Amino acid sequence: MSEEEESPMPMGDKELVARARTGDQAASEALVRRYQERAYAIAYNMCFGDSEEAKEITQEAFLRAFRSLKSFRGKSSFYTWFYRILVTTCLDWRRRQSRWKRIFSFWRRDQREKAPSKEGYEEYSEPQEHSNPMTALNNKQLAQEIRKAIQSLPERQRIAFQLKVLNGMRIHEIAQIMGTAEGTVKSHLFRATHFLRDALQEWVQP
Amino acid sequence: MKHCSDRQETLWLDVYGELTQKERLDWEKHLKTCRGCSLEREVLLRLLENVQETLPAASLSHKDVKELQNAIFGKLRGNTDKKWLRKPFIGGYVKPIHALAACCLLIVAFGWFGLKGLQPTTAVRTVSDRGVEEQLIAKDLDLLENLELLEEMDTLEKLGKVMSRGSATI
Repeated sequence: MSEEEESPMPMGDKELVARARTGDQAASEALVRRYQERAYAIAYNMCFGDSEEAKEITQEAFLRAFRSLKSFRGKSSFYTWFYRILVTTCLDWRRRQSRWKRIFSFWRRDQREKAPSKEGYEEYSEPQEHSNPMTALNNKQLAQEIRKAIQSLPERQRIAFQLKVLNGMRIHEIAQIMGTAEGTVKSHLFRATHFLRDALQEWVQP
Repeated sequence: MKHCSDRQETLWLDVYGELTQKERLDWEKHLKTCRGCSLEREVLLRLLENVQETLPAASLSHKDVKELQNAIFGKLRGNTDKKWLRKPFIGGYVKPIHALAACCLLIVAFGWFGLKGLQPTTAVRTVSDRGVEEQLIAKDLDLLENLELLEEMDTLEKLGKVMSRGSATI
């Protein structure tokens, strides 16, 4: 049982952050325990279901957060500040990866010819098996279409959509995490929804 | 049947669960009378439901949780051990790359001045201190400077010879 669970009244984020700033190891560890699951879920969606990458990103985001804890002024809640770092880490990670991919594209072409590389979302479980093979096939196709459509969304629209639909955040929280106005987040969300609705029209019509 | 375009934003906010209580009441009244909007609402809700089913929330296994925690805590402890590196030092912070650069500069400086500038120097230099090449150059310079004198000495020598030959014939 963790320390946090043992104590009758769990400490608030503010107190934990204040303690962690003074170098209290236990407070830092409590913050990690509190947010690691959710942070991992966000990272997992943002890197298209690559669990290893998601773990690396989560770890790096926590380290970045603790390194820059002194710059946290407490204007927003700790978790929005931390998720902002997490999203930035994800984006940095993806940019770094695409840069490396570009550099080694020549070599990778050779590799791909030998064995096809993994596409995004490869680790998401397939939708539930159905007794009816036609339904099962349809579900599989729909899942593929949805993944493809989400991957083809522009970056900021995709982030807003994922944080809202897959991670269940409020619009004002997403705005704080993305460092934009609420109106901009709404606009990203609506455009993403519009795009997905058009792309998956034949699947969602009544 | 088309939905009301002026209610588009409300429709989307409803689907995302972002309507206020008052907005929700108004919207529900509208939905009762507008078939287009309620159909579009159903379509959007089905779309989001499908997305959530296809991409379910990821969770860490107990083992993964422990591994991740150990990795983060290990690195955090590592950071606290090296806290001296983050103490201000002459208006900045000591970083390994800075220390390495300073070492390289010191090596270059000692290499240069140690071989050239730090050798013991004497104010008065004797001929024996000079190298062979320097001595040869100095001799050549001496010859050039006293060329006229040498020419004169040559003339005098010839004159002496003539005189001695003349006295012998007499």
